[in-house]
Amino acid sequence: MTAPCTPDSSAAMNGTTDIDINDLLDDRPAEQVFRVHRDAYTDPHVFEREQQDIFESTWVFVGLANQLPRPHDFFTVTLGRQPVIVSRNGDGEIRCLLNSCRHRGMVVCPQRSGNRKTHTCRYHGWVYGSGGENMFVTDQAEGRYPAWFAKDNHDLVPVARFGNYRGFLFASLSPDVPPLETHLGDARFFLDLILDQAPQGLEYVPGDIRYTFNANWKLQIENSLDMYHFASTHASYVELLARRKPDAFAGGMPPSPADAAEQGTFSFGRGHAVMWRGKSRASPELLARRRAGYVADISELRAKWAGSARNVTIFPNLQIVDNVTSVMLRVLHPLAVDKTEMHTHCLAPVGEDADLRAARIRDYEDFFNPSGLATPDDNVIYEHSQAGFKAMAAGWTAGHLRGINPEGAPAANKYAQELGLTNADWSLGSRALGDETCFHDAYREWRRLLTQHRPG
Amino acid sequence: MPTTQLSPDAAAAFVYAEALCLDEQRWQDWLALYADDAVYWIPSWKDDHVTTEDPATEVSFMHAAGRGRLEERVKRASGTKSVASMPLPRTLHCISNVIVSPVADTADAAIADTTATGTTAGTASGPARWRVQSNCVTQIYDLRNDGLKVMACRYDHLLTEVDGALRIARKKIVLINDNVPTVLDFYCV
Repeated sequence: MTAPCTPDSSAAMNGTTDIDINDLLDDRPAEQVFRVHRDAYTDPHVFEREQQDIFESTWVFVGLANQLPRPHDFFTVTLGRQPVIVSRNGDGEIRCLLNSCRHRGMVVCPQRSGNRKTHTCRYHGWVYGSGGENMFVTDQAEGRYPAWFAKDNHDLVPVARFGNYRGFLFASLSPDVPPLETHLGDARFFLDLILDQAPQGLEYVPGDIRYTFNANWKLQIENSLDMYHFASTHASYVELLARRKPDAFAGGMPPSPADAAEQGTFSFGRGHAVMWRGKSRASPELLARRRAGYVADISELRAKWAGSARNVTIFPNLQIVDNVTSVMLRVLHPLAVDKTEMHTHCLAPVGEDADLRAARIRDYEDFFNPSGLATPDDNVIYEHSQAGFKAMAAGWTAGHLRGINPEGAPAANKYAQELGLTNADWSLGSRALGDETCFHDAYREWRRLLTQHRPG
Repeated sequence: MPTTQLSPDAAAAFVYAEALCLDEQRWQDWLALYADDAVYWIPSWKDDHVTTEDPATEVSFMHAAGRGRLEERVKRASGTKSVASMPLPRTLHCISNVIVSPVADTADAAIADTTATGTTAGTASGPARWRVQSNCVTQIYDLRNDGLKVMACRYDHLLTEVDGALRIARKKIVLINDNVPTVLDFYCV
């Protein structure tokens, strides 16, 4: 076996635009080696490939159906770099359309959200219905168009694939993707656990939060699945919690490693993964109140899991952190190899009791957002990581190895068995395990997508 | 009506003094300007031109009820455990457009009340209260990358008298540029 931590150089570091993605991921399971090259986080050419072959080629999360309660409601987002409108038409059907006038390409709808029966391009006045259908071409009769123009389609172009998993909306700009449910695979169980808490559905609590950090988007993918960083990166948050008087709902400390709470991960293929903790900060009172709000037919097993803390990543752009005390949904928007924009939401069951809702919002604000007591520390850590990656001479990092050695791991995972997760990799250990193998799936999917149409 | 008058100059001087505490990192002096039960609130935006209005049902960037929550943030800023606070940026708060108006009754108090949940405090027979509105542009010099960023805010202070001294009962900060670069904390706005 080669010495896996010896600094070395590779073809990827020769400074040309001719990247071989396979050089950036050293994945040798039999030798217990998993390494991601620094170029994967710093090379603008890699970023271009990611935009084209990941964010503009696979299923990406666009929003909640609940954001569009009425006919003609819409919101706008980007898929990779490409602007789209997600709109409910007059028949109640949700469409996802490229936000670009068929005449000369202008953005037809510049607003973030709203309600419009028609979208009129302000350049030359072409009009589109809320389902994207072209309704009007200004002065068409006088325009000396070629004969074929009248027969041609001038509707806003729909995305290649659009899917709705129980209110979670996903789109793909490439038709070359499996059905959404196949893509989500067994990760659906962990979306279901959040939906199980909301008999009337889930909603975003009003209030948009956007922020940026000057670092690569994959650092966010890793960090949300990383239990190892919590005690050190969030030492200030933990210190403040320790000084607070216990709150009726969520005033306690996070369970400590010494608490023997179990921690584990599942990876589902196609990049999705979950990092779960057997306990949360939720008080017994809060757990009981939450439990009372779950769907009526929830099983005891599912109720137990709904009351545990879970971080879900749906590759490549959706993360949901269910701390029980609050649930945060965030969407990644990579802007450059070293800049990422985040949109985050406080996710809540429709019709929640007012006191639970208020406590949920305070708990969400306390930890998350660029103004919380924990997320800013993560954001700055990402920026320090990005700066540190420039130390190319230091070679490979050892940041994806915890949990890779099967010695000392349980032979079977009773939790995978009780959940019936047959197509999932897993790790299981104490709170101090800090498994990093749960990142591997995302990088394997990353490599698959970047190489499926152009090997290397 | 309040028996005590607060001149526009005095109101502006108070808000300037608060800004100087932040820029000079005199955190304890800054905290001392706040009443024990002060509410410090930075709403988020729910539409292009509408901020969130009710912290109990909508998301805020920050909603600190009681000076204790501000003391927590000071501890983060002055301690060694928050990487987001190391190194702290240099800041320069520039305040302008100061308007002061007396808060005479509960209706006026509700306008100035940043909890938006209603209050019975500040009745005609209670302590004098004034609403001080101003604009604040903060220049933030980030020592990690030598970058200068700007946060533009509208301040809405509700000032009251506590033991003969002027104190902040409520402070609402409307952040105009709400796509936040990396960190938003009390010293940034």
